[in-house]
Amino acid sequence: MPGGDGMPAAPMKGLTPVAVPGIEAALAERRRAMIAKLERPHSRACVMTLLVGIEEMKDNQPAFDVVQQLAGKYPIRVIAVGRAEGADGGLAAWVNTECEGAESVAICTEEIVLQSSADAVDRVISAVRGSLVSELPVVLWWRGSVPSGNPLWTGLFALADRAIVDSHRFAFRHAGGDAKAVSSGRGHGPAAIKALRDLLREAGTRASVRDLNWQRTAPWRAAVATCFDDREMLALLPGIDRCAITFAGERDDDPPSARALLMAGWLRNRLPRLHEQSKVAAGKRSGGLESGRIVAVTLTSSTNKSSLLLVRRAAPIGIEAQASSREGKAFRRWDFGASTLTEAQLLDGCLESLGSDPMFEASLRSAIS
Amino acid sequence: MATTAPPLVNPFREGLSLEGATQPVQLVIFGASGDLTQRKLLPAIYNLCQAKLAPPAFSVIGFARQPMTDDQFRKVLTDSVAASSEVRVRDAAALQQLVECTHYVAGDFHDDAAYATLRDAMQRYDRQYATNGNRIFYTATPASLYGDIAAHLHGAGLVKPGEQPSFVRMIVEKPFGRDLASAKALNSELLTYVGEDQIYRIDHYLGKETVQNILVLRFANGIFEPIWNRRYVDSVQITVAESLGIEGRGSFYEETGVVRDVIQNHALQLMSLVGMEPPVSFDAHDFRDEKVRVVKAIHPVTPADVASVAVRGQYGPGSVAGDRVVGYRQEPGVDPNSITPTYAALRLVIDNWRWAGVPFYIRSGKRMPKRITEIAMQFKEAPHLPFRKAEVETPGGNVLALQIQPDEGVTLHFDAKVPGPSMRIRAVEMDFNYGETFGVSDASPYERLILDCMKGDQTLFDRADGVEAAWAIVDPILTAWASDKDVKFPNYDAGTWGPAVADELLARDGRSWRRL
Ligand SMILES: NC(=O)c1ccc[n+]([C@@H]2O[C@H](COP(=O)([O-])OP(=O)(O)OC[C@H]3O[C@@H](n4cnc5c(N)ncnc54)[C@H](OP(=O)(O)O)[C@@H]3O)[C@@H](O)[C@H]2O)c1
Repeated sequence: MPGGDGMPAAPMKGLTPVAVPGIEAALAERRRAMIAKLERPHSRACVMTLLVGIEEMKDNQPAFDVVQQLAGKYPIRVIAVGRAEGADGGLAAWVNTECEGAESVAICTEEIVLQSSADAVDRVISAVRGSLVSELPVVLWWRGSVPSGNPLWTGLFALADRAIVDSHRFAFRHAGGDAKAVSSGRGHGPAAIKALRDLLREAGTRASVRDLNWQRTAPWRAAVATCFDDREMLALLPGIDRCAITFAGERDDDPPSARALLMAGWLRNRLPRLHEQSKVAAGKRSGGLESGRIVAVTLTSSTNKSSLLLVRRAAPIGIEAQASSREGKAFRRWDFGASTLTEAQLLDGCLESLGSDPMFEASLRSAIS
Repeated sequence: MATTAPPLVNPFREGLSLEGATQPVQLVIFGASGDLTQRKLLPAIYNLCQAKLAPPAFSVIGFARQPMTDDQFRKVLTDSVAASSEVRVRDAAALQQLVECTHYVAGDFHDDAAYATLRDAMQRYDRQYATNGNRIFYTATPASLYGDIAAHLHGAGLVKPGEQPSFVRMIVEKPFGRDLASAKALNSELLTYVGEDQIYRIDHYLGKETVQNILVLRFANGIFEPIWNRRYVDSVQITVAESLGIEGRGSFYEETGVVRDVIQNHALQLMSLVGMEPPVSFDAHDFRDEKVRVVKAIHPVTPADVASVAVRGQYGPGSVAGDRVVGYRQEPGVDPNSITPTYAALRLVIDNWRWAGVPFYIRSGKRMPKRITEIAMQFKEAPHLPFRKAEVETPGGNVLALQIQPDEGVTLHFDAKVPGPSMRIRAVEMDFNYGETFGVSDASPYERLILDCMKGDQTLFDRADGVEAAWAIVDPILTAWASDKDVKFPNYDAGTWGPAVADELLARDGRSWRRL
């Protein structure tokens, strides 16, 4: 439903439409109103500008939900930018200010939403440039498919110190052996890994790149590390020279998922002899599990029967692990409780520190492609 | 020639510490039935487990005199988690997991047989939970027992790490001695049995986020260090004020007093963080070297100096926050003629190039008008004011105030022009509020410090020489005050900012305490 005055409908509730030159004044006014409601002195604080790149504004609600969840934690300025046809003259803007936790300490978030038609990307980027908070880090969260080549990404990334993508959302159209990036379609791990490497190359030393999909491997990495904290398991390490990762797929010949490839990359980086013998394969789809998720990780020896097997458990969610001796006798079990990390938690994990993640970059380099 | 293979290292650990993973460990709490364990330690351990910061291969063994079964101690654990306001997320599954790996051993800390029982239990649970022989002993017991515990642990063969790469660490609670001689004796007793690199002397003040933020403010910002010295700083005031009285702990406080309770540890910690030179790195060795160096550079207080650099006080009846309260001498468990100080103020100077001639005024007291801990750097006034005196409404120079609690933050006071046709100047404040920027940190200092010990990071713990250097500063004051019993107490009303002698201490230098 369109808004009044030729304005398109606001992409979410609570937003006030503004003209781009009036953004700062509108935010300041809303801020004054919020502070008056708090009935206590409040100093303005801001730790970063978070740019949210949304490919299609009509799919925006999950992105805004994530921003809402982060809002209570950091005082940030969020600038959400998305493409939508029908924006008046190519560009429309809205603002909002939210303060959370007003009773003790209030953390205030400023939100600017910019919507542009495909041919007004230069205008929207100029509006973003004028709305960045001076001298504070600029983080770009790209909530879309493969960003390279997308003019909105190019414009936003040029303004950012850090980009956060989600290789799980990278979609491709399969044309024979090749995979061509598209805005929606199926995942293709090797192509996603290549796209991530291209992004890192594009970022060079100017900016860092993180991947939410890599964050999703954290429980598996922590579980493997903990198993090898066990002295008996560690003693078997010199003989371990093979790894296999099973991921949830639709068919046996599905291309490996990006997540499974990143996990394999990490194992290969940590134990270089695994380079020779590592396997990533689709497992039978179990219990409606979302495609691409890791289902099992196995580390074995080609010279004896020692092994470490980690398997995803559905309910309660967790990872079960079992270690077997050189003779193939199970000698220890672990049970790691876990929870499915929400997009907000994953993003929060990426925002906690602003530098690059050397382990992610090393694992990406070691990933099979 | 036979060579021994280097110990195997877990290659998967690297880079995971940010995600909170720590080595498997067994945590043995001495004094498991006591107040500290129940109010602070068990909730902190639960929080670490709930946040998945404790290792999955983990177990807790409570050890105290009182006979208890595992189940009874597990009930103590669940009750203390239920009652604690420091517990953030109530997670039944996480609590159950912790309960299942929690055990109890009863025994007297002086009894050899009790340690044999403890050792057997530790070996059994080490196998059961695969904790690799890694152990942390936490002494939440009366301080008089620390040395004896170390001797017995040594006798039972429990302080030597077993097969590499396991570790044995000992967290030692405050108070660390009650004067210089007893602190030295305790250090030498502990060090007979346990290495300095195994000892984690806890001062929970250092576990506070805002105390650590002092270091970040000083050493991560280029603008403060150049003016952090005698050329620009006029004086420094450190205030650790409590509105509470002694909360029923009369006999404890009679033995302790404000100097042992707060000045020797917390206040001198704050002074060392403000006064220290930038360390080469934040590893435990470099950081603690600098911290100790500045305490050693504090001008020694001789018995003859005491009267001119230190004043004491004791509260009488009064009103705090609208409530009438009794005086110290009327508190239960307190001698009606007690001369235990509940307030002290000190004027200290640091004999080094950075601080020569800059007084550090420290005050701490009970029953003050409000609870506040802050460090205020008073900067020198501008050398020449091109304005008429009348134009400056509230001269006072610039102050950078670092608030530690309760409203953690940093405030800069400076002068600004009042809008209008005339040149009127008024002091204004620029505030940075930690909570409004990052949200309030909800991890308790105990949580942070136990986790650091699990990771083997001694940075935020005291070293033997640091503890002794701090006692060396206050020892002559304690001795002089103990022998001079001719003191007119009470000398300040509860709910006021301390005795008149404290104001005179600063007035002699032409200064006054900050009005907080
Ligand atoms: N409580 C606090 O808030 C706090 C704060 C900072 C520092 N501290 C320090 O922490 C330490 C413990 O304080 P607390 O308040 O918890 O003391 P507490 O309540 O008196 O507890 C002392 C514990 O030590 C045990 N114990 C004493 N003598 C023993 C012996 N001979 N053999 C075996 N067990 C023995 C007691 O066991 P039984 O009950 O079985 O006898 C009890 O579990 C003290 O050094 C204190 O200064 C306490």
